[in-house]
Amino acid sequence: MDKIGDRELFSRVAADDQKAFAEFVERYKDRLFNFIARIIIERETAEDILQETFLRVYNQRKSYSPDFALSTWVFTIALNLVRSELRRRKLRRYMSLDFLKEETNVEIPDKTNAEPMKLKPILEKAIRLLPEEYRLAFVLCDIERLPYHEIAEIMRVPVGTVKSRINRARAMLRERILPHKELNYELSKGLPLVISVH
Amino acid sequence: MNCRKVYRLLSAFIDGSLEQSEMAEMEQHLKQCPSCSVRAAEMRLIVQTAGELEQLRPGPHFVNRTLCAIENGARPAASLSGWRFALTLSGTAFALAACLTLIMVGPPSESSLALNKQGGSNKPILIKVNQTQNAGDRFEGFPVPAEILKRDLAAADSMNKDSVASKPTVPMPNLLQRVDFEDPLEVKIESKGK
Repeated sequence: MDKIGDRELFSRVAADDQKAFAEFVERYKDRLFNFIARIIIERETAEDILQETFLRVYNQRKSYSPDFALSTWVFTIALNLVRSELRRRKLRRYMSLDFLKEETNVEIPDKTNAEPMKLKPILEKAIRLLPEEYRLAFVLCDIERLPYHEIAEIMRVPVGTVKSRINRARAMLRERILPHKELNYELSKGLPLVISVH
Repeated sequence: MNCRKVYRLLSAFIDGSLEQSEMAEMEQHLKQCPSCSVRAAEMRLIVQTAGELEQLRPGPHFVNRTLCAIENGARPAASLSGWRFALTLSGTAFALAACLTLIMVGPPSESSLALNKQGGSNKPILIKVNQTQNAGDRFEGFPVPAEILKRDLAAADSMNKDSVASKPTVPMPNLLQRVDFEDPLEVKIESKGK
């Protein structure tokens, strides 16, 4: 199938074109999975939620309103399912008293051992520790690269709230990665990193 | 522009979503303030690194699996909506509280049931305690059927007797003195020979 726009593609999906739906799944699966898996963490559960998202999209294909961007609509469905899963987990954690032994800190290696290549895994871990709403805003903005107004529609909050959450999330990440402050500064200036070994 | 305001607008500055005048003010401040400049560089690095994180992808058979599920008429799994979730949560909490109460207090006794029958008047309720209760009435645990209780008490009595009988007899001081007194109903028979 030739590369066509999202709206054109989805109008075919709405007209029960199975090939168009396969193309739609192919087009959105990676973006959606990247978002879901970064919030849910467990791969299998993330795949289940992704499949559930597509099932819902298919079942509601006739009710999609072209007034909204297709990506906004699809991400909203995915986000609702992600939130349901997080709520279930929270309840399970409280019922099993697991929240008492909840992970509160992430193992971030000492700055003396840090290498520039290790910044990505450190950031990945730090993102997991962000509070839920901040993590959602950060992932949608800085990983999925969605504009503020679209994130606001998906999360159903004002744009100002989105901006403030993203700012706070970035600040929290910066604070968590603070042991690597020198590393970051050197990297940002493009200078060779000096690693002191004690 | 002061450092506090810069801190608040830093994210929007990095994303280029500030007004032109604010952008110019920010740039001016960052040139003059080394700590804000470092902070901006760090935040920019985080944003840049986040954009370069490896893309997570579903398994290779995902598309086929999903299309098969749709072809087979799979319905989306019902998830708990807001009010249903709250209802479930409150129901669970109530059941938990009831179980805890039952474990800690025990089931309602006969006297408390009798009190409940008196209705919800505001008058203080007096509990009459019978001083000459039977052994069975004094039992305060779970209600036991009368015949079982009677049987158990009889067994306990016989065990006590046995244990007393099997014990070696120890001469005890005679603490009780036999008191003989005339029975008013006693009929004295006098001999005719006297």
